[in-house]
Amino acid sequence: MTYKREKIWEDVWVNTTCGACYCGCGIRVRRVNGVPVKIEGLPESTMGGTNSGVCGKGAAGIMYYHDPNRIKKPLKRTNPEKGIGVDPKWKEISWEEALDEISTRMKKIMEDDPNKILFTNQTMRASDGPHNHPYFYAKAFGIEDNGCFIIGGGSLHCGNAAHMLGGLIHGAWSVAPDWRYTKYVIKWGSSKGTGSGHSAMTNARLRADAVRRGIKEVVFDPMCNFAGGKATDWIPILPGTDSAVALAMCNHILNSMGVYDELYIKAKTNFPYLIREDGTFVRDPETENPLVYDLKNKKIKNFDDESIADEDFALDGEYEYNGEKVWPCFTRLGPNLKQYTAEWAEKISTVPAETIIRIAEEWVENAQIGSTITIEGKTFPYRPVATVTFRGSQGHYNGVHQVAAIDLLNQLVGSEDVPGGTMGWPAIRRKYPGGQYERLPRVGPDGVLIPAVFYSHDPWPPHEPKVPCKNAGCVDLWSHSTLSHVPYVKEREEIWEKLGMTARPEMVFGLAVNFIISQADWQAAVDLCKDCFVVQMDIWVNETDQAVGDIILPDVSWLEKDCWSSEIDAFFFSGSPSYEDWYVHMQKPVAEPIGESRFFMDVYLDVAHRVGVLDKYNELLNNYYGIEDEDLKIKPGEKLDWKEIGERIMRWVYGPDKEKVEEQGYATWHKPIEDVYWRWYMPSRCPVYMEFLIHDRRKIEKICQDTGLELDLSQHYPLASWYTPTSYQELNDEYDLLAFSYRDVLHTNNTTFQNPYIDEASARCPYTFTITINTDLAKKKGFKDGDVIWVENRYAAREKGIVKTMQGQNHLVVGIAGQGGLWADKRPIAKGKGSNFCKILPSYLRHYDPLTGNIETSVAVKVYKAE
Amino acid sequence: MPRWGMVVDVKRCIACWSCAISCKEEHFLPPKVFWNRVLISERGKYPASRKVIYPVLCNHCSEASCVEACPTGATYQREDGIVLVDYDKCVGCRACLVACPYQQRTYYDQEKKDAEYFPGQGKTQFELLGEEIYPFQVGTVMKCNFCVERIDEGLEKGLAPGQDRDATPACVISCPVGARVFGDLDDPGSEVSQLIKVHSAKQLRPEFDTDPAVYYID
Repeated sequence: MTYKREKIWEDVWVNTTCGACYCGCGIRVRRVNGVPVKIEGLPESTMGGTNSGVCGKGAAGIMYYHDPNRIKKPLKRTNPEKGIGVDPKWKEISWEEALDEISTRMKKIMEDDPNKILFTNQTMRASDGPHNHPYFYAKAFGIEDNGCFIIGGGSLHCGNAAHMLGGLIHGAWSVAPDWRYTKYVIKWGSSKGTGSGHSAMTNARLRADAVRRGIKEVVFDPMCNFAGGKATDWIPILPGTDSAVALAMCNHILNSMGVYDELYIKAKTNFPYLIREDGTFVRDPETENPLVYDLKNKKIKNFDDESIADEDFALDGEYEYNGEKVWPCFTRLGPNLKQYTAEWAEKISTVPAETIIRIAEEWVENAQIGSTITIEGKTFPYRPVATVTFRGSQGHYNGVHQVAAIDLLNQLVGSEDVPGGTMGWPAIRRKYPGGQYERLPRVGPDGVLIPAVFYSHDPWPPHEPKVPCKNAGCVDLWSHSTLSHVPYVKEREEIWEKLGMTARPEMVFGLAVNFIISQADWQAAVDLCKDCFVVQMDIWVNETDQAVGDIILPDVSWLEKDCWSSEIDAFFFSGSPSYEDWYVHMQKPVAEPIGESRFFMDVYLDVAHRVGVLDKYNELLNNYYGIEDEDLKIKPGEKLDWKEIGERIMRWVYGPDKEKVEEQGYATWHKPIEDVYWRWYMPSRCPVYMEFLIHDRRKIEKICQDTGLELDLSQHYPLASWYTPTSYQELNDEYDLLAFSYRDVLHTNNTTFQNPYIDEASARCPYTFTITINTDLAKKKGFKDGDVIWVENRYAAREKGIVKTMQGQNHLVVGIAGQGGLWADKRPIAKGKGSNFCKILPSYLRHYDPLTGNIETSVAVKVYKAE
Repeated sequence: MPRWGMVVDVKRCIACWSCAISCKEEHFLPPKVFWNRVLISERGKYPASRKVIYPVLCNHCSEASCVEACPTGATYQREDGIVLVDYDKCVGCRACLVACPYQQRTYYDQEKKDAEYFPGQGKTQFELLGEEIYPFQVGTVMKCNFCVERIDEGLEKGLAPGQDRDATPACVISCPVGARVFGDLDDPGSEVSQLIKVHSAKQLRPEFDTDPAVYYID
């Protein structure tokens, strides 16, 4: 019972960044005799768990290196037929042959229209990145916006609506409670702090400390599992009905209790902006700024007129401007909310009316409106209540209004980006001391934040919907889409034709994406890609590769990666939302690349060179990092690999500390408290009244009129309101249950299914590989644990799985974790494990959020025993 | 002489399995063998039901029934409370498996030795290295050893188990939410003793009268 020390000739630890999900926790990997054997967290870093903590799937990371199923040489399909169940008949080819064919095809397509190339990646590769470079890369090929960026493996796990409002409200990608100072947290379809979401283990560490402090955590969720299972108060709800409950709570707070944080609403939202009868802002003809009424001077002024004290912005009353009656838009809020009673919300959501009222009152009581807190000599409003949402509640037809309704709770009590409240994080990235590269949000039109970095289609200033649409995602029309799902819509051909979209996809250049099984209706994705030339870089041949891939290039895993940029650019969803120092980690190779695998950034550079766009890409890099030092800029004609580029950019970013940062594998520096609680330091306003939607609606109505396209525009309404999700509308006596999916703490999309450690642990979890159903409901249906059932939607798509009954699940739903039900031959551990939820998601346009193009992620189903 | 013990705060635990997987890496455990596990179930009726999570491991009981049951003295308890198995003395009778009320013991047979993490594809470098530098013996019983190697080697280096990473069990240091604390149960000032006192931490199934060294805050 001891180590044979005499047989150990090497025993070292290498600091690097975890790549098991997109959170990018700081880790160190132990290498013994040249073999990676163990992963721990880095106690020196705030990026990740407590001290040396790392989550189970992070700890299991060594198996991605050891997996014998890794691709070792480029593969080429020899069977021209494509589809699910068709053998691609791979043959190994040389890198030269592969890259020559890829670049030759690209050049030919680019002569026609570069938008015909879909550049895409998978969100699990965020920290296994650099994640954001596919966007620059596509730009180098001449593709503007990211309408070609069809989100792949992340797919239904991605949050168009959450990101849109995260950007608009917080200038950030994501939100989390300020665990350190909060007292009361409400979560809606979000597992922040209990294992999932951005900065998962950072949040889990901070939450654990808050739990010991005694916070109350209310979780609205269809099931009592990860978030619900750890809540002090789990409240079962139906998928997609969160906004009904949130609106009823807001109604009770504003109209019954008569409570709101008046100073906050006046100073930090656009609610004082004056509107005319049609709901649009009254603007100064010269500045085009929205106007407000100054109660003290009794005058109408520009909203940013510095002569108005915060308390003097009018929120009610009727005024006259150029002969027209005008009102602060806040006057519309109370009447709009009045229709949403707790009793009404109960009928929709199954949440008892008295519970809704109780939670609303607890929320107000804990908010301590008017209180302040002094931290490090700085005084801030103190609102120790936070309400957060993510994929679960926002992934619906009514996604934007779901997020907006939940956010309204924060707005009413002023708990945005203040101690104890709801934090967007981090909106700011200060430069490293002695270095350069700083990312700060700006205040844009109407006082709304323009985020410092946004991965994709910027949320502000608002883009004007227009045609023709230049690429497959049609973000020209779906102007609030962060990552477009439109290419997967069943009616895409008709949409493309009517919107003048002529760049029909001819090629996919993907990073480890698995969109066939991870989006929705599998066939819709196969149809999109079967006539395309599909190139992927990955460590395995996945389901998408097997069905439609043409050339598969072997990528390195993060254990073999030398990547200086891993988190420099992902700072805005990998850092700590709390008052903790900045940490930026690098990826340092722990072992030699497997076979002939190459880091995808070097392949990117090679292909860009062959296609003739390398100079343009390098210029984009210079501009992105804001390099002003001529010696460090990448010059035209220079052909550098990713490490060589890093030599320049690291010097720019870290200055004289470059070598020190490289040696320790991470950089850390102080985060000023004003950068954490920036809200009251920045003259910005939350666009809670979404006036831009009125203008969008008018423009889209005209486009629809001109093109004959039929679109549902009912949600283009400026105030958070209730809209019935498509899944809910499709319930009837036969399709009587709502199926939903959720993130299991052990899994990141589908990649983790191939990890044998995670597979073993999953098999010991009662819910991970099964279909969960309420115990009483199961009894009614005649099911018991272990029965095999079909879950079928009204479009005849069905998935099979093993029943696991549980008390802790709403009695009108069935739950399926993540993206199981896999079948790729080259991922034998994953094959056949769990069930695939995505395949039963219908993909008709009516199942998409009309504001963002986000897919509805619950579905009306019937369940029955398999024969 | 300390008595090593552990406190697990299940309120903090998010059932991520880091303890179990880190343990497997630390000890090069073969497929399907866990010295740490996470038991997941639920309690109560809808809608008042609650998820129940218990990360479990060998309890290193003071009154260890496995020690009593072992006919050869292979299973023994050190003065610091750690219960170990001497593979050279173990004859594989498995009386201890039956005796352990917490089901924390595994019989290591040829099938387990031959098992591959990627079945049918041969052993990985990781598995082969494990067999070389941390070998098990077929026909013996294995279980959690409280990372005795880390504790002993740490103490030799002057480190403090429970405080210094290199002297503390792998499952404790790898927990991302700080749900596990390790230390000396006999020291009333240790963090474990304080946590037990302040939070009225409990041993699992005290009716077995084995006096486990692992306590739970729930």
